[in-house]
Amino acid sequence: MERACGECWVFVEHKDGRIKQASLELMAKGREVADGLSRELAAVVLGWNIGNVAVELARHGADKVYLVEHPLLERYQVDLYCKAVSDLASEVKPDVILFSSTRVGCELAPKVAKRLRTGMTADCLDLRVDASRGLVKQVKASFGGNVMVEVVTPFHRPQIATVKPGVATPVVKERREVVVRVTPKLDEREVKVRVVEKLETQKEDNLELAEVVVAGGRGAGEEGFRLIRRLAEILGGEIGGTRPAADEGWIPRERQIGQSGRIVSPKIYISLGASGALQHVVGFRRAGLVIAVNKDPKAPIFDHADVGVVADVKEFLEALIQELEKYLNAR
Amino acid sequence: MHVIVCVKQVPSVEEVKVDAETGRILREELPLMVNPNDRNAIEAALRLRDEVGGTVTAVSMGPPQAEEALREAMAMGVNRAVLISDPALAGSDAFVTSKVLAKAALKLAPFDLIVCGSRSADGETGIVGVQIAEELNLPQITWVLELKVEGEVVRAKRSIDGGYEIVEACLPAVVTVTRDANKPRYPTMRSIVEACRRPIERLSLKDLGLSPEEVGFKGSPTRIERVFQAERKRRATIISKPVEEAAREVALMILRELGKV
Ligand SMILES: Cc1cc2nc3c(=O)[nH]c(=O)nc-3n(C[C@H](O)[C@H](O)[C@H](O)COP(=O)(O)OP(=O)(O)OC[C@H]3O[C@@H](n4cnc5c(N)ncnc54)[C@H](O)[C@@H]3O)c2cc1C
Repeated sequence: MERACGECWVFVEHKDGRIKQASLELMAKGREVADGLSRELAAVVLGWNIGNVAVELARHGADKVYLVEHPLLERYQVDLYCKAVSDLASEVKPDVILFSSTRVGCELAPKVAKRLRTGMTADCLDLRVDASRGLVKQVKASFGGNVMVEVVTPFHRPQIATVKPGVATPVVKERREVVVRVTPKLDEREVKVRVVEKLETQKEDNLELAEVVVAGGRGAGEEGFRLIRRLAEILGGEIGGTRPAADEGWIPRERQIGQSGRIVSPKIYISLGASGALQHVVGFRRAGLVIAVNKDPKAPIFDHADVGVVADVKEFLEALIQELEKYLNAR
Repeated sequence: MHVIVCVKQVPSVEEVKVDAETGRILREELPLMVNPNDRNAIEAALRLRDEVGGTVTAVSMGPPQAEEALREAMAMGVNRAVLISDPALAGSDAFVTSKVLAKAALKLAPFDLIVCGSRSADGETGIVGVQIAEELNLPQITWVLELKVEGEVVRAKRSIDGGYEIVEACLPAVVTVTRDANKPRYPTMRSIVEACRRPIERLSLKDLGLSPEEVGFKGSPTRIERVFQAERKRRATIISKPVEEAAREVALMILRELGKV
């Protein structure tokens, strides 16, 4: 087995000088792992003119920040980012590298893992530590969310995982700021995929931070979703839904909740016309109060909710909206 | 143009049964099918071929029964089907699978494009496509929604965090397509019957120049250490009242939780 330096790395994503929420959460998870293994936590951040981002990272628990700057890294590009991270990892030999399960993390992590000739686990819902063996136990849903598996990489280093956004809460933990400046060797000719045009369509939504999430399933139907949007509006919440709801186009794909969608942890989660498939349920396990409405009293969703109502979605929502409006108008 | 499409046979995960005592998945009892997302990959490959001409080869790594998945791919319209099967491959993780599929692609070369689904329904890693590209040192385009080939260039619309982008790469390249890329066609009765008569080519480890030590459980960096059922933390209290009353109760509950009453 390759000797590792022992550092635990977190790959940090940022935009317009701000660290992404997913990365802040990952820093918290990384801190846990590093502490569990009695190792240092290092944040790895790539870009150009991003010194301010490095300073911010020390506030979120990094013992060390690798500030990898190069004009070619100004924008994310998979080939160059992979080279910069892999080269640094080959030199420093970290024990663990964590990425967020964002679009970027999901294509970068496997590429880095392959280049470093090590294993990786995708879409982890949790990381646990086996300190005696120096291993990170990577917990993920498998077989369509029907079971959880614990994956380890016993004989290869680094241990690499992507972690789903929404499964940890960012913490503020001041550390002494140690910035290590790195200038990678990069060449434009290494770019194999050229971006012709970027179309930013979705504003960053606040699904992971929302206090209330109103989510619908196939049983809500198009009409139900009209009422779901109305309810979310009244409660100042965000809408979400199951995979069929996204397939039908009732919600944008980015608002699919579950294992292959987003993980949310609102104070209140309201589920309307969803059966309660485990793939979906893993998406709101961390929620506070879960209220479920389904017309089938035997629907599995009731095993994952605190309060259940056996009713037709449309009828129930109309009544609920009326009740809430009555109260809110009376104020 | 020669397009290689990677196809995996997976258990139908909607019907997974788990042994209550051991937590083991009862794999034997599961119906098998083509990984749903790979149907999108097959569809994308077929459309490209129909536009610019050429052939589509479906490749699968798996046990002998994975032949059925390849038959289905043939029924959908792929020209050739290749099965990589060897007992030593059992237990291969994504790292090894991508190595084997990359070797197979080299064996089937020349090719212009390798198309994979973005992820499989059982392991759900989303790793294999990316790692095939890395293994072969080819351009990688992930999360593809639209795909076009013009001359020596592949152009794709792909999903990124917060939107879309249009990218270009020189062929040969590797792309992974999402569920939203297209609606896979259904095979016709006639194409199914025809597919049964056509041969499926086979490749062994030896054909690919791989040793048993490099693959399977032995060659895989990752190990599944434990399989368990996610615990159920809640059990709902059912409000069995007429809709209006239930709605009133829920409304109060929500307002209380939000600190508004
Ligand atoms: C690999 C994989 C990953 C997946 N990832 C996800 C994921 O991330 N997120 C996700 O959501 N799914 C995911 N799925 C799909 C998941 O398995 C389920 O198919 C899906 O969650 C079911 O959605 P649903 O509950 O909306 O639909 P259904 O299962 O069709 O349930 C509809 C429910 O609505 C009820 N209903 C119908 N009409 C009414 C009415 N008028 N009033 C009240 N109730 C009504 C029915 O009783 C039923 O319980 C994944 C599947 C796989 C294989």
